[in-house]
Amino acid sequence: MIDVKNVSKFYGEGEGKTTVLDKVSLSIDAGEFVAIIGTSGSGKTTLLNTIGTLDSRFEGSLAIDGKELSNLGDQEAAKLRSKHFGFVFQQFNLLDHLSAIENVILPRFFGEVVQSPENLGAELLKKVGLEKKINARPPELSGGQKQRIAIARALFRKPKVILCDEPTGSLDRKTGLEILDLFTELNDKDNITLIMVTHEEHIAKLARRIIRMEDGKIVSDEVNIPEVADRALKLDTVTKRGDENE
Amino acid sequence: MSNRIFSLVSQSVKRNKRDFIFSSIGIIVGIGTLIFFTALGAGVKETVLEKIFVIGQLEVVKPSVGLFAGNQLSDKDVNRLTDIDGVKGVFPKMKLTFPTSARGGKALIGKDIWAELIADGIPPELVQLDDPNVFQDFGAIDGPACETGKDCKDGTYCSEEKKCEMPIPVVISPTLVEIYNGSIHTAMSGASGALSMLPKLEKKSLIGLEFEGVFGKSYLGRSSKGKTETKRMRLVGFSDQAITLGATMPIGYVKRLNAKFKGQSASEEYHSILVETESNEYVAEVSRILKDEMGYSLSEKFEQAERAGLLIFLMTLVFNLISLIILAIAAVNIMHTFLMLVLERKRELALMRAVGATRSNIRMLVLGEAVLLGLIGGSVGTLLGFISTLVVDLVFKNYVVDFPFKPDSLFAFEPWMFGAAIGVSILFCVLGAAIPAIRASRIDPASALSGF
Repeated sequence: MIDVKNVSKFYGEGEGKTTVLDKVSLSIDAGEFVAIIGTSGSGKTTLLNTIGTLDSRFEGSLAIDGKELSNLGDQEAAKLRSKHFGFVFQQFNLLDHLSAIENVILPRFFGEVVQSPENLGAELLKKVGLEKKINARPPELSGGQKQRIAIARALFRKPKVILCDEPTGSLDRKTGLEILDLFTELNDKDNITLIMVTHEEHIAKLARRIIRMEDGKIVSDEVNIPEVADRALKLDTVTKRGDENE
Repeated sequence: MSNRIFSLVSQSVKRNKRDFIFSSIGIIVGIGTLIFFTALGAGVKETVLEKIFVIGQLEVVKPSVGLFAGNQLSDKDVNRLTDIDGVKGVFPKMKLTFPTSARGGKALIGKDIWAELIADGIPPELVQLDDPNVFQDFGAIDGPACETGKDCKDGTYCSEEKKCEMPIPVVISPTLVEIYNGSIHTAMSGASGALSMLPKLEKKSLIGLEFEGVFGKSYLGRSSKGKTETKRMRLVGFSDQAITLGATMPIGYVKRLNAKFKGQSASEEYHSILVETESNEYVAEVSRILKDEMGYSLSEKFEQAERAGLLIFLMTLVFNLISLIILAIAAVNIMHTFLMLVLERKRELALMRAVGATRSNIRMLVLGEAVLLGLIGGSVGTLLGFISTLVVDLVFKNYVVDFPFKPDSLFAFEPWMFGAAIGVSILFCVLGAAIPAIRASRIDPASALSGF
């Protein structure tokens, strides 16, 4: 589904030129739950943004469903982004002046016309467990609730892939796991491909595939069997591991 | 897409209400000033070129130089002028060419006074009064015989010829009343005798005033031909077409009186011919044909009109330039505000890109906000400009003393002015927002959303 071949990306020029992605190649199939892990500056977020066409300046080849994206124009990239990808960010990126449902249906302003966007928005908020917070504004909500709204927004266009950049980074551990539980559910039930960037080992371990990055390179790409399936057990295990790491 | 962008634009404007209100102040002031000065220029132009110097009317006078010098103006000239392309109407004018005086005023000051009478005649259709029937050549109709006034009906009187006649209808220039009230009345208030009793005149109260015209005799002399004749005259209205100092009557009376007191040839010679063009656009071409091709001379008034028109145009241009400078400053202010807003909303705009917005959508969003700002600012500015003209007019009407040609309003509005004002407002707002819009569309969503 997603094919990345020899993708490189640089910042700066001349002596100050920094390699952010160094000939990265990988392939992700539909329905996978992939975690990209690495330390700060390893290039994981850049890779995620490149896959999501938010960053179009790179060398190499990137294809989605066989369609080459490296030379895509702005219109086409926006159309493709809108059709294939949903984004979830660490900082939620909700608009404080809009209500929960208005945030969810924000993508309606662009791309293909959606019939009855309010109904779809309400349905998505119900899916993420916020049906009672439809008219609440982000400042009135907790971090977990904000991230759920962001997930509902990411689902608005029924994307094939959700790209998550440190989705639990601004949440407490328990809430973070609740969010991951929601992701796992989306992956299992709706067969949505999940690509999640994290720097936390215990979060990455909940994915079915873990890609490790260092200095802009993929250093390992392994299949992972989530140790626990049950949410309560998962919570305990992760809490324990988190404590060990600390 | 445009409907959806419009919804997004209105959402954004509502949210940034305060910033938009501050940005719009410059636009409101600029557009208010623009509409004020444009209307003032048009108003002054209308007064000067339609009342003082009627630019759509050219007055042909006897050629003073060249091949046709000294030639008299006659019906032959009237016919020639009628055939020129772009000429709507031709109106000959004739002056009384023998001594004439007037006697009257008892109704006003309690005592009749004598005065020299300067009079001319014009075609009745040139004068527009509320009742078009009052300014007619009644003298062309023979009235019934009479012995005394009691024998005459329907406003007629028993004339010296023992015939029931309508008084000669005359119109006077409104300027004459203004000059009288502004100068003569003021000066005579310190005089002794009847003149000190001269009242301030109001146009309405003068309508219907009757006095006697003594034809063939005045203080200055007596006519060499014909017997002095006294006829009743009645003021029927005021007209800009009337002679400035004197009285104007239907041309038929003047022709008959000139024939009687000066001879047949005097009744066939016009002193000037008024040529009315179909519109102001024809003035220049008709003027050229009259002067260069046909050898006529134009009255000095037309030359003055051209100069006055140019002066007004230049003044309006200067004032409009001031308005445009204000608008340009407002546009710079808008640019600053929009740049600030784009910076503040960097993450929001990047998010829009992430959820499917193209660069063009982002540009349209920012420019759409500018258009809405221009529309609202322009409308408010236009309204305030219009209100300020009403206030100025009110002050002008109540606190500025009357003077010749004082207009009812200093301003003239045309529907296009309102449309143009709002159009200019939108244009300057869009110009101001152009650079911020381009910058907004170039925001890198990846770095903005990652918080770098």
